[in-house]
Amino acid sequence: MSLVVALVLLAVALTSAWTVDRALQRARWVEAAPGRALATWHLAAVALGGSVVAVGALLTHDVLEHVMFRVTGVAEAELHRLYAGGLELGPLWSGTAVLVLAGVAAMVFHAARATRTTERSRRRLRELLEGGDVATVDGCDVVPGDTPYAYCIPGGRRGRSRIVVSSSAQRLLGPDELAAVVAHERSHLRRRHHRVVFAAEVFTRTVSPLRILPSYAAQVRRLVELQADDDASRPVGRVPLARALVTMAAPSAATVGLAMAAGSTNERVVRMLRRPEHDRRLSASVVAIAVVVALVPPATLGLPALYLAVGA
Amino acid sequence: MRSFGDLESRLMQILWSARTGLTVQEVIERLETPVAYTTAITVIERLRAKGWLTREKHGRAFRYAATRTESQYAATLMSEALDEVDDRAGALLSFADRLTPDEAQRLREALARLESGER
Repeated sequence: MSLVVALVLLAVALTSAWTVDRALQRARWVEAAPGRALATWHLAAVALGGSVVAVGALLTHDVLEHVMFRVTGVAEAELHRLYAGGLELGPLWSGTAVLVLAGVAAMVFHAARATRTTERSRRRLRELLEGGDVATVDGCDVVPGDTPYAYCIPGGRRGRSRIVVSSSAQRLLGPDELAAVVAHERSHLRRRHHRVVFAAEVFTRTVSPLRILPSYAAQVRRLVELQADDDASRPVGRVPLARALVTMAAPSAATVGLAMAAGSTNERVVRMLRRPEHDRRLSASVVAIAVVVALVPPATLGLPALYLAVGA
Repeated sequence: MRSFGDLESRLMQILWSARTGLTVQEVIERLETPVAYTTAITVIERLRAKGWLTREKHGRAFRYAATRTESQYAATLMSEALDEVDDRAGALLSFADRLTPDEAQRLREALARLESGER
């Protein structure tokens, strides 16, 4: 592959990734269909991430060959036969394999690091839950606390899944509001949102130097909340959920300085207070983005061959 | 803040369950496996330095008492552990993050309007 073609393909893949990132981040329809938005993000991550890596691999291979040609001055055809892979030298010699291995190594590194921090946090909280005076009320663990909070830890080898609510939250919330909180956390557990967030975070950290889908992880964190809100509002209603969100998130003397991720709570309440929208154009727009996203990898990789075929 | 060590925790349990302040000697008498006086006083004074105990002169000896209840201690540990969690990779999914005072005010007004309109 010529260097120019490889560069053009890389530019196409990166531009598509950048465009999809911006479009999905700003799209209004995702609020009405967080589940479909999540699916679109995952598709985009696999398709665009994959195509950038594939084109990048071809590019690396070309650059390597080019450099070797300049340095040694040996016959280009001979050199190409050598570096194009094949059985003589084995796949490890090619730049492709090196790049793919580097990518896999980076992903394993980030996955291991993220696993360590999440496991450490969960273990610490489980220890405290097991040692403390925990009252089990309606399937959730109520722990003493002056600040209103609620969270869930997924089950696994280290224990059953738990929904934890502070005594302050239990005191401040009405029965229907508490039910909304519990339903929201149950939805996280049922849909395995912890794993979704984890995967998106590891992907984003791994490809962050290439700036492929830079908002993926943050958007997934936002969308799983919207999806869990929808699940919770169905049985208990939108207004109790909105009230619970305001009660739990409102700043107070006790919560000043409590560290929390920059958030979507304001958006979530506003969304619960609006009438649910039924946008007919929604499905069309989702399908369009999905098709474009799915077409990018075969298009970027197949374009040169297609060009030759048509030219001949 | 770290959770208590083994002896610290046993001493705190005794002081939490006592209705009045206890002298070091009284604390030692209530331990299942007694420790030397110097060991006990060192750990008790360390707990006082950390703010978990107060002492009051009582005759010739000091009486020590817990400043916070066991449940307050558990609550502090839990909320500090939560503060330390890096949740970007989904360690636990928190129900809500913080609203600014402005946002909270506007949302409360919107909720109030909605509820008065419904009636």
